[in-house]
Order: sequence, then structure tokens, then C-alpha cells
Amino acid sequence: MKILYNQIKQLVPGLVATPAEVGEALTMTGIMQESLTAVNYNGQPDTLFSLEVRQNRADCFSVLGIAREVAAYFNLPLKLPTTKAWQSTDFVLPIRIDTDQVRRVRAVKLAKAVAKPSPQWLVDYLAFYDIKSVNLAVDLSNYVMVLTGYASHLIDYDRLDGDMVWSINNKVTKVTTLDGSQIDLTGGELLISDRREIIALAGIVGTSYAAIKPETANILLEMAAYNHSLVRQNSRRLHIVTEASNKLEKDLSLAGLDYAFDLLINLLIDQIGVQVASQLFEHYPNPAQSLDIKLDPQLVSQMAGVVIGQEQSRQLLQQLGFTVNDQQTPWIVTVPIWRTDLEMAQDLVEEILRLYRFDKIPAILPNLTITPEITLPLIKAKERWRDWLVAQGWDEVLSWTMVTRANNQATNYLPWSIASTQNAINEDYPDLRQTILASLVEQSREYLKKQVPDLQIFEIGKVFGRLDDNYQEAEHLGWLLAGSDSVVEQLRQTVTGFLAWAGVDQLVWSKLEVGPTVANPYAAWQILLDSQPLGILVQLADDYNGQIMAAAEIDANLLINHLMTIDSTPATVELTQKLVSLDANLELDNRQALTAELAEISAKVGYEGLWSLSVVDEFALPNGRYRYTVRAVYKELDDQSAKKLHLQVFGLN
Amino acid sequence: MLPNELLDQLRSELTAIADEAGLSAVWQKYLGKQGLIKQQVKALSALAIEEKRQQGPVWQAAQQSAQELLDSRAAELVAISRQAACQTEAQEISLKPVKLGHLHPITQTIRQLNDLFIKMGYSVMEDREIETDEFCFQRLNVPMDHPARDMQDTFYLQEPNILLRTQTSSVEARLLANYKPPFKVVCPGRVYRNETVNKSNHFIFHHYQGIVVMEKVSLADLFGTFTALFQSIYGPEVKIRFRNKYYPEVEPGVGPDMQCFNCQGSGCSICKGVGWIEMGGAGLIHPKVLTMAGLDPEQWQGFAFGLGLDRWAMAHHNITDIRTLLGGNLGYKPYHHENTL
Repeated sequence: MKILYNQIKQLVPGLVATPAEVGEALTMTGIMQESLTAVNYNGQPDTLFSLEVRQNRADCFSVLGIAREVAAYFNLPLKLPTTKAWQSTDFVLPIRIDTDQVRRVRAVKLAKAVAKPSPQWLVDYLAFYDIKSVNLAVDLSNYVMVLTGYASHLIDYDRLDGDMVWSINNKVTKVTTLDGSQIDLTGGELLISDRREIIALAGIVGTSYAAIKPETANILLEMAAYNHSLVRQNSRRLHIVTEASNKLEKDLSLAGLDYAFDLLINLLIDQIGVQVASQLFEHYPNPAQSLDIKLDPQLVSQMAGVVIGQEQSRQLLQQLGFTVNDQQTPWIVTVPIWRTDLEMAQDLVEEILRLYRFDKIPAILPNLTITPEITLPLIKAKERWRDWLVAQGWDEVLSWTMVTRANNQATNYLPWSIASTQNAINEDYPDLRQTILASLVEQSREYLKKQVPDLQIFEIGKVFGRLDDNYQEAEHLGWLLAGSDSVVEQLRQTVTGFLAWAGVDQLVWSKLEVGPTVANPYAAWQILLDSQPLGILVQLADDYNGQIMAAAEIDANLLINHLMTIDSTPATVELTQKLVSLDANLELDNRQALTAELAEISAKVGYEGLWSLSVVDEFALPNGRYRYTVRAVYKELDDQSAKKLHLQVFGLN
Repeated sequence: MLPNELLDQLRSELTAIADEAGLSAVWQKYLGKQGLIKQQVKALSALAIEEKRQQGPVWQAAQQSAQELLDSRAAELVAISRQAACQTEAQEISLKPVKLGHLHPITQTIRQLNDLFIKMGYSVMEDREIETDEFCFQRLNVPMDHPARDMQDTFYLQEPNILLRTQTSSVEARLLANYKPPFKVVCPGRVYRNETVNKSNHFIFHHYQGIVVMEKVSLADLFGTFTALFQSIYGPEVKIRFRNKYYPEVEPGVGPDMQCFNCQGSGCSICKGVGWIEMGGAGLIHPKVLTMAGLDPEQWQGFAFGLGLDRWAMAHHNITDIRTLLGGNLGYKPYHHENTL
């Protein structure tokens, strides 16, 4: 919203505050000054404010609304342009309203119109709002719109054929606007039309059909307020934003329309010499009622956290145009007609406090009640995990969670389909990533372009997909490492070490039958936890500047859920005897069988007797099986007892 | 030969000995059964008593000295041998520097804020990024077609109900629906807005939400909390102001600004000439938001605030382009440590 300092001063003649003071006052009370520029207007130096008006203040998208705020803040009277009563005739306008989306319409026929150019002050005035001068009648209607916030429409009355009708479109597919643009309609738009043609997309823009021309002698003036949501929807959907749509998509006060309408007719009579040549057409099915809100004045101090006297609260409300009946508690506060954004006591408190100014409320660190800790275990765990990884030399990256379709297809290994956005501006990245791998691979490509050495990155973040028509998301942890021949094993050790440190004691690594296409199909493993797939470890098919790349990814939600189910047993032991190490060979089908066998042996020995159990050799036998040399280290047993137990648990008797 | 002459001879021979075999031979020569000193000791038995009394202690002492010389040389040889072995087996440290790991600037910023709030008794919450219209908008007092939605261009997965959250206020709505007050919570997280990416804007960025619901809270409590937050990051001299600003989910709504760190309020390009920088949004939780969560606004009150994290992280890490934060333009010097205290 743009406004000149002298526009405000005209409406608030007692204003002595400087433009900077006015800008600061508006900013602090809810209308932020974005800029303050020295300009020349009407031959005089002036100051142009650019203000950010929030959507709830429909009344402030006008010069009058801003001036009213300034007058309230500085407690000065507001001087509105006066209007005189005007005479109507008996002629009834042929207007019909066929939709309940029209909340109010006022219209009259104006005769004896003469096309005149606008004076320079008016041309300049409108230019500040990027409104091009057309002729005096149109310019005055725009002037009133800028001043009051109510848009109007001037129509060449003699062009009309039959009734002028407001209706919801259900058949028209194209319309040509005043500037010649062809607009495709899809239905549901609010239209003004006559028997032959569309006159306007109501609340947005007119067509050329009945636009007033230099020869227009009879004007139909209409000023309306609609269901503002519909105007907004149509304006957005049709990609047409005009000064009128900007005003009419707000929740304008219906009662405020009277003054704007009268002012425009007065100006047209005074400046052009038109005569009102009809009855006033009024469509106002649900007239605005005055709104009374109960306010307990104690609420002001309670919400502020500082004592604000009742007299001061009452005074501030009155400055803002409220009527306060404080003969009883709660007070009955009547909301001024131009405000449509207020409905409850808390709204009134905000009004009082914003004028009181928030910067007069002390900022004291509160001594708030102790509340229960509800941080979820995963949130805490992620921070520990990050620390562990960083301490091991890993760099954390955060990537785009929206990726290319090709990237998702090359990296996905999970049994879900792609979750895709419907309206992404950037069409190259329509999909949510299905894996962290998708992001890490993309990151490695970017790093390769920049020849970054020592690639060792991880990311903890969300992955997304669709399963059974439901959108799902999960927290994953992914690693990507570039290095020499042993890089896959290095990463396996990192993942194993990480998981063991996190609290996992039994992992199974099994060959992945179908891995993501980005992986080397001969070097892809699935990580199983409690027989559930926890994640994958893969060697990537692409290299990194001649180095081998390995990547791994695990489901952090699954991991934390597992960790929540297991009891924590301390690793600490008291050593009173020397440890006894004994080896044994096991011939088994594969590593999975080995894991099961070791779990069984471990259970047989029991926590008290076992120091460690590890595989020290793996040897492929000609019969397709494997021989594993397992080293068991026993504690709290003498040599003889340990040997006896060893033979027993390994079945070597 | 006299005992001293024999011992001198032994000393001389031991000097030349370099290994255990040589040492053994010398021992045999002097102290073995037929050894030069051993023979003399044995011969004492044949002497007359008086002579035995004179010669006995002399040769016994010589025998003991010889043994000591041999032991001493043996110890020397062990030490020499050990040293040689150590020298052979000694490992060398390499000159290769150790690569250090790093936390992402956004993580560091979140931690900095979390640390402060955890000390003040807040919990930390996260929630889903794919949200419903209900929890991203409606429960925050932004019904369908509310003009405030224009402020947030939304990515839809399934219009109009399934979307990517535009703000971490959605976590507030989830929290209010799922937990019983009182609570104090902060929620860091990733948010999405369907905007064109450029140096200053990204369609993926990060928010930090704070929510307090208790039986009594006020604007003064909110202002005090916010001031503590800014002071912890920018120091006690930082200047903060609170102004009225509309947000549908709060009433009253607050716009917290920080005095421009570059121009100290006089106006510059960073603060667009106004001397202050907007730092987020805040306010007392709207009674309608509480009511929609099944809470009685007469009994429960709350405040909420939201901050953008990206610009804080950028300022702290000297990053000038927001696109750097996510993706391959952010690198870490591999051997450069960061003091994250």
C-alpha cells in the first residue's frame, strides 16, 4: 500500500508528526513501513510511504483507512470529504442478481455525462498507484477507490441490452477484457452480463463491451461487495490481479460502501455535471449489523503482563473509533463499522495494546512452571549419532528433499512408489526423495564437478513415498564414502561400529538380490535387524575421480524402535582371573547360518562366562559350504573349565 | 696369574664380546668347571691352612667379581639387543593429516537454539513434513480461502488436502492435539514453499517454532523469552523491538525486529533503510486455535513464535547465497576444526 504524507495530512489536518514519526507509529501498531521516499507531487515536495498492510485489515487498503489509523494513534480528529444528498428519479434500473455471492450492490443511472480530461493533480495522484488516466469520470471512480477502498464500475448504459445480471458462470468459456486479453473461463466465475454479452468479471475486470467511451452520455454506476473469497479464488485462478480485485478480495465492510458511493456521485455531479437519472438500486440481502463485544478490562493487563489502567484502555478504544459502555463489567464495546476483523475480547485487547505500544511492555524472562519433558527418543538419539559420525571424520550434508524422477528411479530400493508434487514451479524436481541415497548420489556429483577430495558424507533426514495409496515418510541415515579398494569394508565397519555403539548387538548382512540400479549389482548387501530389513550397503557403479564409492542407508525409525525394546546391559565387568582364548571351526552354509549359530553359542555360554566371540577366518570349501574359525574368549573360568565349556558349546566332544 | 691380572684380562675380553654365545664361552673360560678362576678356587683345598686362610678370601672375591662382570656385560648385551630390535621394529607416524568431520551449519544453529531452550526446560519436538490442510492451516485459524494463505505458496501432493508443510506451526497443531498441557516445546524443521529459487529464496528452508501452553502467560513472558533468545546469540547489547503484526494463529500478533547489526539502526541496504531486521513472528496463541485442540481458552493460554533459521546460519557461516545451504556448493575444509563451544 502506497500513500503520500500529504494525503494523510489532508484527512488529519492537525497532524504535526514528521513522516518518519508517522512511519514509526504505523509500523509499531501493525502496518509496517517498508520504505519512505522523498517525492515531488503536485509541484510540492512530499514523502511516499510504502506500507505492508496485512490481509485482515481490509479497511487499511485505502488512504482513508491509513489516515484513520494515524488519527487514532496521535489522537487527532479525522476530516473526511463531505458529501451532499443527491436527487434520484423514478426510473427503475433493469438489474437482476441471480447469485448469493453478491453481498451488496448499489447502482444508479447518470445522465448528461461529458467526456473530460482529468486535471493534472488527479493524473499524478493515480500514477502513484500505477493507474493510467482514462478520462475524468473513470479517474474519479479510481480516485474514490484509492481513497476509500471501494471499487466501482462505470458502464455505458446505452450499450446494455436487457437486464444487467450478476450470476455465476456455467456456460461462457472465453472473455475478452478491457485491455484485449483473451481469458479462458472454466465455470464458477462471478459475471456481470446482459442479454448479449459479458460486461465484467465481477470484482476483477471489465470487458470492452459496455466500457464508457468519449461519446457516452448515460452511465450506469455500480459499486458492489462480493463474497471476497470467490473474488480471490477467481483472481488467482484466472491470473488476473487488478486494483479492483485487490480491494474486493478483502472482507470489506458492507456498511462503509454508502459513503464511498455517495462521495463518487458527488464528485461526478460536481466535476462533470452528471444528473442522477434513476432510482437507487440497492441489493443488500443481509445488512451489516453493529457488533458488540464483551470485554473484561482485567483481561488487558492479564494478556499484557503489565498493569494497564481501565481508563487508559477505554481511552485507547475510543481513539480507534470504538464505543465503550463501561457502566458494567464486562464492558460492552461496539466495533466501528469499518472494522470487519474483530470478533472477540482478545481482538479488543490487541487493539488496546497495539496503540499502547508493545515496546512499552517489559521483556522479562519468565519463571515458567516446570513442565514434563516430552522430547522423543529419536530426536535425542539423532544428536548423539551426529556427534559420533562427526568424531569419525564424517561431514554432514543437508540436501534437497525434492529430486528428479530419474534420480529417484536409480536410487530407490524401498517397496514404495514415488510421492510427487502436483504444482511444483520447478518442473525438474517434482518428486520427494525416496531414499537418502538419492540425495547423496546427487551431492557426490556436485562435489565431483568441484573436485572435492576426501568424500566422506552423511545425512540424516526424511524420505518419502506412497504405500497402499497413503503418503508416508520416515527418518533415514545415509553414508557415502569414496576411497580405495577397501572402501566397502571400511563403510561396513563404520556402519557396524555405529550400530553397535548405538546399541545393536546382532546384525545380519545378506546379499541384496535386487539393489538400486545406481549400485554395482555384485556388491550390494541388505542389513537385517531382527530379520527386518534395516537398510543397505552398496558399492556404487560410478566412480569418484577414479576412487570407488560405497554408500549405506538405514531406517532410523526402525533402529530407534528396536533400541527401545532392548534392555541395556552394562559392558563393565570385574576381572579376577585371566581370560582364556580358544578357537573352534564351524562348517556352515553361509554367513546367515553363522550368525544364528553364534547367537546360539553365545546364549549357551551366557553373559557371565563370555568375554567375546569373534570370527577370525572364513574359508570357502569345495562343497560350497564355508569353514569359519571362531575365537571364543572366556572369563571367570580356569583353563580346564573353559576348555570343557568350549568343547561342549561348540559340540566338539 | 694373580687374581687382579685375571680380572683385568676378563674385563678386556668382555669388552670385545657382542653376543650371548661369546659371553658363554668367556664364562666357561673363567668360571666353568675348568675355568681359570674356578681352578684356582678348587686348588685352595690343597693348600696348607695358613695359606688357605690367606688365599681363600682373595680367590673367592675374584670369583664373585668375575661373575658380576659377566652379569653386567650380559645385561649390557640384552639392552643392546633390545635396542636393536626396537630400532628394527619401530613404526613411523605418517604426515597424512587426519580428516575432521563437521556438522552442517543448520544443525549447528538448531543446536545453539536448542541448548538455550533445553536449559529453560523446553522439550524438542519434530513431526511430519507431509501434512494435511487441517494441521497446516485450519487448526491454526487459517480456514480454506483465508487470504493469509496467499502469504504461503503451498506445494500440494494431493490438492487440496495433502501438502508439504509451509511452516513448523503444523507441529504446534499436532502438539496441541496430541499432548496435554502444560508444556514448553521448541520444534526445528524443514518447510516448503512453492517459490522460485534465487540467491535469497529457496523452496526448501528451515523454521524454528516455540510453543508454550500454561495456565497463565502474557506478552511480557513472550518478550522476555524472545529477548533472552536474541541475547544468547547476539550478546546482551542486542536491541530488540516488538511491534504489532497480524498472524492468524495468534492474538495479539507480534513482529519481533532486531536492530540492524550493520548500520546500528541508521538504515542501510541490509535492513532496506529502516534500521531494523524482521526476525520472525510471534504472539499469544489464538483462543480459536486452543479451542480447536479441545482446550478451554479460559483455562489455558499460550504463546508461540517462529523464526527462519537459514539466514541466521548464513550470517554466522559467512554464506551469501541461500542455495549454498542445501546441496553441493557447501564444502568443509577437511582439516579445519570448528570450535563449537
